[in-house]
Amino acid sequence: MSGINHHELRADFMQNESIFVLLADDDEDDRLFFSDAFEELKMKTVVKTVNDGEELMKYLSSSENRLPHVLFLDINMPRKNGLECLKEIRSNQELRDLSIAMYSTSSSEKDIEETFIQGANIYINKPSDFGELKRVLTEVLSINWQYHTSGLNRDNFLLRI
Amino acid sequence: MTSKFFTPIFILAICVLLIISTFAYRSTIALDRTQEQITRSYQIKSELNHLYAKLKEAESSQWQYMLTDENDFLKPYEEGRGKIDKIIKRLELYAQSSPEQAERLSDLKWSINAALYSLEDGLAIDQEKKVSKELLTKKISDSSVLLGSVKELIGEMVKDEDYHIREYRLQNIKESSFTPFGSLLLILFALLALVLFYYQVNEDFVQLQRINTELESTNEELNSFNHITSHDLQEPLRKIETFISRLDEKEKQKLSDNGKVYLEKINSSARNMRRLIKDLLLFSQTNSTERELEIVELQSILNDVQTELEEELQSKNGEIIIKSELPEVKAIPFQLKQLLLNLIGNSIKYAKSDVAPVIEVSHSIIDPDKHLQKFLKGKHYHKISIADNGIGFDQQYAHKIFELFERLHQKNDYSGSGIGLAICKKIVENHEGSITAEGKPGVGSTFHIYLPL
Repeated sequence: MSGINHHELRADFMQNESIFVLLADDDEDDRLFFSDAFEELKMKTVVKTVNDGEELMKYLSSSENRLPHVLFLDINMPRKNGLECLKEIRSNQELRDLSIAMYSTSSSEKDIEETFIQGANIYINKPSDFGELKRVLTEVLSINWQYHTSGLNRDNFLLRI
Repeated sequence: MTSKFFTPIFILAICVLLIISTFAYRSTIALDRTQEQITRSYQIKSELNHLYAKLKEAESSQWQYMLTDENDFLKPYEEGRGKIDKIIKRLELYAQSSPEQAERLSDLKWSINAALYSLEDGLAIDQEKKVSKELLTKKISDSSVLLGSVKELIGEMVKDEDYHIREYRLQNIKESSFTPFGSLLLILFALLALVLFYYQVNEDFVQLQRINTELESTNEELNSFNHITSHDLQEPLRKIETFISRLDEKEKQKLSDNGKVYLEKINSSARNMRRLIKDLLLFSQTNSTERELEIVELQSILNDVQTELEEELQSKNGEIIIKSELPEVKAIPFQLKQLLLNLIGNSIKYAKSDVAPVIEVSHSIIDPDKHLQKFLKGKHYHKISIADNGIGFDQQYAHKIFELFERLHQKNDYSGSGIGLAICKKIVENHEGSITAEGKPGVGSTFHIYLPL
């Protein structure tokens, strides 16, 4: 099975087929907010969550599992953190084309810089308002990934709503 | 030993070295001088002996002539005369520096002339062959008396020079015996001082290194503190806020009126905490080492700030009046933006409830001679003033308002973390400037920023 490319996501979105979203986050509340937000959004989405980096890599490396259209990746996780996962995914032939949105509380320059260099597609600060969370997630799913990725630079990497 | 001994030791060592070189120079000069004097005394002595010999020669050649009447014997006498004149001339030159010897020399000259004259007189009488034997004898004995007194004078002068030579020698010995001993002592002293100095510098260096290491670890701690505030503290707060927004959206209708008020109170507390964390982070990140100074157009920064505060200003019907264009300064751009943002933001925040805020921004350059403040001495400064017609403050608190967490107003009346002005102060100090405040309750406040030209 091969990685999902950017065309497919766009096509699925346009054809109103359900979008598969995967979130790796160790925080239970954040996983809840995330799932609830998609539930309330009028978008056909399938949401799966995993609890940490190790679980994520196990999921992604199993050939039986479907690869997500977009992976939301928390940075601070026990055992294997988001940055390590990002590096592994980008150095894996099968997974390297995955669209990855970093999803973190941290707004530190260091984290933003490092994940940009390691090839994440966008950086999202976790919002502190549920309404805003919904807006952010809608925005991320409506991005034309191919266009976004080819014109990606340090300035538009951090998502600002 | 502490560094307060540092400077005295160094100065002492330098003084000692100066003393040594002065002594060495002076004793060399003195040695040179006595050496020269000794040499001259020897020269005088030798010339005097020479002179005496010549006179003897003249005398004996005359006698020989008188006894034999052979003209050949007069030759050495005639040659001797010329030589004697030359010797006297040389002696006069040597004796210039000693008036005593010069006086003696002129006596000597006179005696020699008299003796020679008397010799010649005797010679003339002898040549006439008409004089009586008694007269001749008398003349001869006259000239021999005169020559005797010349000899005596020469002897005296020689003795005098001998005395001088002895004196100079003694002086020489005294000077040269003092010099090496004194120098050695002083050099040892200076060496000791320099060794102490070295130890002092070394000790200070080690201490500085230790302080530096401490500072580095403190800095690291501060960095991790920054990380804690930026992440770990914000994490639970973000969840509280998200849950509040969920409650607000979905469950609010089910709450009683009291419950709704409580919810709003929780919400505003959470907001306050978020602002506090944000400002605290900003404060700890405001330092000078991060970025290089660059030329900044303050006016364009002010324009940006104005745009950013537009909404807040509009809501209070306020206006910003720029009385004079702001200058270019050497600064860290985002820090100066923060500075103006905080000050103008404060002016809007602390406006009177019934009067629209009017904020005046002006700029002037201060002459170094007209500085009233101690901290601004001898340099030109930009003075940027931001004046408002807000609630003002009592002048006695003018210093206090720049301290961290100092608030002059009730929390419920005006929102604020108590960090904004502390950040302003830190920013201005990062730029080697200063900030002062003037206030009058119910009239307004004015903030003056001083930045070096």
